[in-house]
Amino acid sequence: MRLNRTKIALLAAGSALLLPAAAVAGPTLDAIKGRAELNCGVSTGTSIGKSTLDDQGNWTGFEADFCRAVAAAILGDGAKVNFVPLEFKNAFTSLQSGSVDMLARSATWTMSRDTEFALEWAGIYIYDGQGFLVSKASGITSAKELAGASICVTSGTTTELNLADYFRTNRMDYTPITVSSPDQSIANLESARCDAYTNEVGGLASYRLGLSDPDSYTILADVISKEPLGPVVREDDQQFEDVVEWTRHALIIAEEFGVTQANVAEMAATTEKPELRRFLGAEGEFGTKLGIPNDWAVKTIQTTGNYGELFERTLGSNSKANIARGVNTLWSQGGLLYAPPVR
Amino acid sequence: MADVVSNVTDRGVPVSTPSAPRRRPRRRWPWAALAQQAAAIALVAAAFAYLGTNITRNLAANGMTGGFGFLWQEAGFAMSFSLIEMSESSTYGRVFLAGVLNTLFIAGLSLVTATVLGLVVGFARVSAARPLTLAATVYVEALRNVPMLLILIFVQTVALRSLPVVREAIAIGDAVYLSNRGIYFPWPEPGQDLRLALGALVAGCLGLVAAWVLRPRTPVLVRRDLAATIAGITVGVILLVVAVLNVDWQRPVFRGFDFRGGAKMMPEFAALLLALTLYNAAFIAEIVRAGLQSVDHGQIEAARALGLRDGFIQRRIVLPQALRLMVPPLTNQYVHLIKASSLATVVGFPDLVAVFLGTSLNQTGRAIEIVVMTAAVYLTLCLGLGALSAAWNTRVSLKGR
Repeated sequence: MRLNRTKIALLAAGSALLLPAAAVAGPTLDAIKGRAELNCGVSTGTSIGKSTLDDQGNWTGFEADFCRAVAAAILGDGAKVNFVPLEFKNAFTSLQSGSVDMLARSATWTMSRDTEFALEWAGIYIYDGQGFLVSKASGITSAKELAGASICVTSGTTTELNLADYFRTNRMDYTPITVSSPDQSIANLESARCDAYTNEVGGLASYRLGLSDPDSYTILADVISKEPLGPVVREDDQQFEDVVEWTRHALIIAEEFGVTQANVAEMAATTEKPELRRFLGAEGEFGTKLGIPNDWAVKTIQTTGNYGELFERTLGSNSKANIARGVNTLWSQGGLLYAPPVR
Repeated sequence: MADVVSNVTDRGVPVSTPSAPRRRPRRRWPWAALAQQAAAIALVAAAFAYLGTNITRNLAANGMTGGFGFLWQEAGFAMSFSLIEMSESSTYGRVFLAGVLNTLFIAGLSLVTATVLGLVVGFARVSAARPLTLAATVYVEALRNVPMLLILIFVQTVALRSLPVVREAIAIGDAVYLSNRGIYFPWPEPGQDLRLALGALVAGCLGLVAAWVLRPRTPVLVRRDLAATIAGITVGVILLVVAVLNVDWQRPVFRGFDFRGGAKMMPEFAALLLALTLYNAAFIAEIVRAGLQSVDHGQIEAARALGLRDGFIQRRIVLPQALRLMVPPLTNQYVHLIKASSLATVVGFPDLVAVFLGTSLNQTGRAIEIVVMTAAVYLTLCLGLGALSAAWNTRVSLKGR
């Protein structure tokens, strides 16, 4: 009897060890081409403007479209994406274990994640910062007034750590109300369980729309952290990382040269600018050297438009979230978006 | 059994006759058993070796590092509730400890409340009063057949969120406040001299213990048997009141965003406690009912015919026999309760799974170490409980025969 129980215990512990050990087969890029589909980890579908699952079952939003852009670059078709909704606390483990090829779900690039998780950030697609969403009725106008407040935050995020840092630095006390999904935080904020909800400002703007009366809530002006958000890949396939990184660059280069969803096909055929010819695959072997078709940039821009079109459609002035582009504009216009030349 | 030659000595101990040739067991080669055990151990060791190399190989292939060094690193996040002193500069090791203690706290507390409620409902199920039986049946059937997660979400969203916001908290006698941000109640002012109060508390408890020790044990109750018990209870209660009055109670006062002073029960904790209690009590009630009904009614009738009082019959005749039947399934239910306490992560109570398997795993990326440590905690708790129950079972099982 006793021996039996010990054995059961050992077996149970053993199966716990087995779980994360699922091996990653071969380089990611080959696997994607082989199955003709990109497995892309996105948020659970309620992040308005970033990855939203609408009532028709379609994924829309900036991050969902970024997945489509990558699929278009590799497979020539932006529809070949298998969207995998992931809660934040499961996202990195899912990527590490190989159940998704990449993440496009508002993951902040930090040094410890970069070095310890064996993951790579393939650039930054949104430069964001952490803020606070409060009800107008509370009369709070600055983050400095939040001493003693209860603050809703998503577990396991950088925002949870920044929050602790901010209150520690300013010698204020607070109670974190930590839950695993932003929806719960929004419900908590709405029922006044917490005084403020903290997240990236972009996220706050989109989650604010999920409130039953968005106009009675406001985002404080204080931004307490840098939140560089970008696509995340595993370290096992350098080539795939390059493809994702250049997809991000392609969106920016297209905006720089005025290439849009509408004119990209025509531009590819007629342009005489050397760099544009190289970019759009009319000259040179740039796509082939990346391990993808030479017209990758054309397919990408046809799928999502350039960075400006993509942002304005999903998060900016043409969307419900209506977020100002802020620093997410081209370097030539005083923003932070900059891409290396195609040469 | 006719061919088994046995005898009974004059002391009443059954012994087998040594001379019977057919009784001698066939001699087994001693190494056969050893070989079996060695094979079993080798198999387990091989499985572990395979898993170990598999993990090392996959970690290396992914360029990931392992090890438990992270337990000494600063965690950098705060917890909304913990039984030990925690700050943003606490280590992951301390977060683990705080998580284990929170899990033990919620599981232990709901184990007690669920058992008490389960006993009450279980006795109500077999009581002679029809309305009581009906109410208990409705309770059991309604809660037992609904997923616990549903009860938990219902309790949190409907019952607790519908409490007023903290500024408009319901006040009960200017001491206890109910709001959707928590339940606030008075707590001893820190820094005061509590020796007298603690002395009175201990003495009061001793009085109650004395009352228990001096309780009437006669099968037939006579009024004068109760005198010592009543005296013990009276002295005990008076001393407890003295203890309470001797403490400077700090009342919660609303200031800024929240009540300050006093103590506070988080709504997340309350929701989890309530859901675990309500759900598990329904099962425990059924276990209690099964136990009680397993005792032959004839015994109760016989005891009544002897003029024994009902309390005595229940305590000394029914319960001891019922318990023997109740404890194994009850242990099962307790194991379920301990594991279900991890639903804390759904409502946002910082138990082990929420702060360690959730937040800490995400911040450190040490999936294997953290999953193994978390699993080990639950295994230890549940196997420990199982061992206790098995030991108790051996003690009370029918002996002889």
